[in-house]
Amino acid sequence: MNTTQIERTQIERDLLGIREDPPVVRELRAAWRFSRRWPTLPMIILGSLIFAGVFAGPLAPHDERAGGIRERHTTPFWFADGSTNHILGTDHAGRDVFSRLLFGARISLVVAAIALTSGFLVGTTMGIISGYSGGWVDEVITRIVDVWQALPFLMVALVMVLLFGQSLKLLLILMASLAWSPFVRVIRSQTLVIKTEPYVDLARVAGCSVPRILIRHILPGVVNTAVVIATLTVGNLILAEAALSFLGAGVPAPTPTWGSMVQEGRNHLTTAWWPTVFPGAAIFAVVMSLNFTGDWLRDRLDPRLRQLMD
Amino acid sequence: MARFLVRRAISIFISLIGATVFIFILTRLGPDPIDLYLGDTQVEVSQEFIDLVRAEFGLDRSLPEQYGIWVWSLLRFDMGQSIGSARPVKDIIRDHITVTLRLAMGAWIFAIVVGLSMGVLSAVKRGKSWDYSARTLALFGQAIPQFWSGVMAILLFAVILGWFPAGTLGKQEGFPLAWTNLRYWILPCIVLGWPASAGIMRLTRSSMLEILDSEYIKLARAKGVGTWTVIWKHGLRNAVIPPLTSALILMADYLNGALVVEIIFSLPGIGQVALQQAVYDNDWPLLAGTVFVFIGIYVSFAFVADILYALIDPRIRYQ
Repeated sequence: MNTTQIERTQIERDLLGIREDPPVVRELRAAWRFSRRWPTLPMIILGSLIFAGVFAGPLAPHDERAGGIRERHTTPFWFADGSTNHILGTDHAGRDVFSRLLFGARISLVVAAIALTSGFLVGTTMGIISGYSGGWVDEVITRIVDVWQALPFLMVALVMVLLFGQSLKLLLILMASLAWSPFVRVIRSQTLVIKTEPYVDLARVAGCSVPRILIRHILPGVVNTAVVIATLTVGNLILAEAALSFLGAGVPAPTPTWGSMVQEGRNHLTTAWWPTVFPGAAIFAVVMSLNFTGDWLRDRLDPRLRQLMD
Repeated sequence: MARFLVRRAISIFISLIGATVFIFILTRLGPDPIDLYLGDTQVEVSQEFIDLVRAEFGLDRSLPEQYGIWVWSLLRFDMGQSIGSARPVKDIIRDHITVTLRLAMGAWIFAIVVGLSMGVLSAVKRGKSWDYSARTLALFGQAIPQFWSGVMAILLFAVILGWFPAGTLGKQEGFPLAWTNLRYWILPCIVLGWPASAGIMRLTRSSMLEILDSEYIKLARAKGVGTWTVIWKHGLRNAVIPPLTSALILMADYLNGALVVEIIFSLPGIGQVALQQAVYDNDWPLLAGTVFVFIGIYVSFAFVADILYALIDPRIRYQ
């Protein structure tokens, strides 16, 4: 059909009973097909997250930390008594919800990025070393991962915050400590497979040093997998960071985070829902997009992972 | 089987030892516990008093000695004394753990019932709208922050619709499953169980799809067995193994969530106690105790799941 397009007049088409979709419908259909093949909506959401995080300063219409009791609980703009001055209204201290959302995006972004990078590096390295060396090194590393995953993260985080006091540095350490373990197991099993490939034996016979084999011959084989795990872990990292902020163990107070916004707003839920609903919805949308993109990447880059991770 | 059990028991023992060492190092890495105990008092505290307190909590001994004493007392279920309320930690935990266990149990039942039925449904109706809606619900469950879904559930079902109470447990009297008692548990259990049900649903779906594709299902169909008999008797019975065993692990994972859910619905469970009494009062024996209870629950769940798996699927034993 697509290859031989026969030009017909309108009368011919009517006589033959050929109904052609109007151009709008055709375009919508094409857009639908496109969005099924590429994660369009998640990409848009993630793109705006990054945009909001990077340009939070110039974008924010108000100071995210300053409020005033006179401006308390102003409604969002679509309400009868709302104004476009505060697009998404204000919270119990009169602070602009939209500006706080923007700066909250920045925190989520920074924390997730740093935690993920360090987790990626540490986790992948340990996975490769564990898989390649085998023996007691392997045993020790797997055991550490087991113990680590048995620790209730939120409780441990609370202990740490109690002991060392709340700070951004501690939060980053905590998040990084959460990020590395998912990598180890999968990368390890991947390395076990690659280790038996002839080219690794050849490299060994040719006299490559162990670090060289690990970096030049094993690493390229597991990097795809690591990227997929990374995208599937970010969502959890953002959720964990939000939960920590919610419990009052995240970034210290004046800095707005999505988790702490929900925590502050929920005491005033019956009078004003907007300071609670919007940050939560933002977390939800972002994590959902991340998981979606992760699944999509996994099916594209490494379909075998589906069995390992589901 | 015996060898397998012994091996698993040893590895769990090592995990527990690792966890205790970790917690111990953690509590000793920070500032001196005495400073936490005394807090920011402006009053001049005499050295003798400090020494007295130090001796009372056994902090005057060497670190390995302290660790040994702590582990030994843990083995006797003695977790020391809470600093904030001067009661044994064991008693505080015992008073509150029933709430946490009930919450976890309710959430677990919800997760299994919903996860399994949705998984079967979406596998049987693969590619239909049922499948899509079940998978969307699962995606939602894995992306929604529990502290927010809990608040939203309260807003919608308690404040706006008024179907359920907005939190706390009220008086739990009479038959535990009576509606007057049960209605306090419904929202928290659903909020806690939803993400777990998403995991179970995905597992059930994939294992069910695999089974439905197998030869003996085709044979059963070919000899004229009814559709639903094939699905329930031939399909689900075999497909149910992986989701059920991993459900145990999943639930242990979601104990983290129990902490958050207890706080949102003001349920007096150990998570709530740990946060409000232990964190805000700098009560580290209580905190260490609750963390250890959480780890204990996780490890025993994992152990039971392993044994179940090995009982059901003999191939596991020889790995």
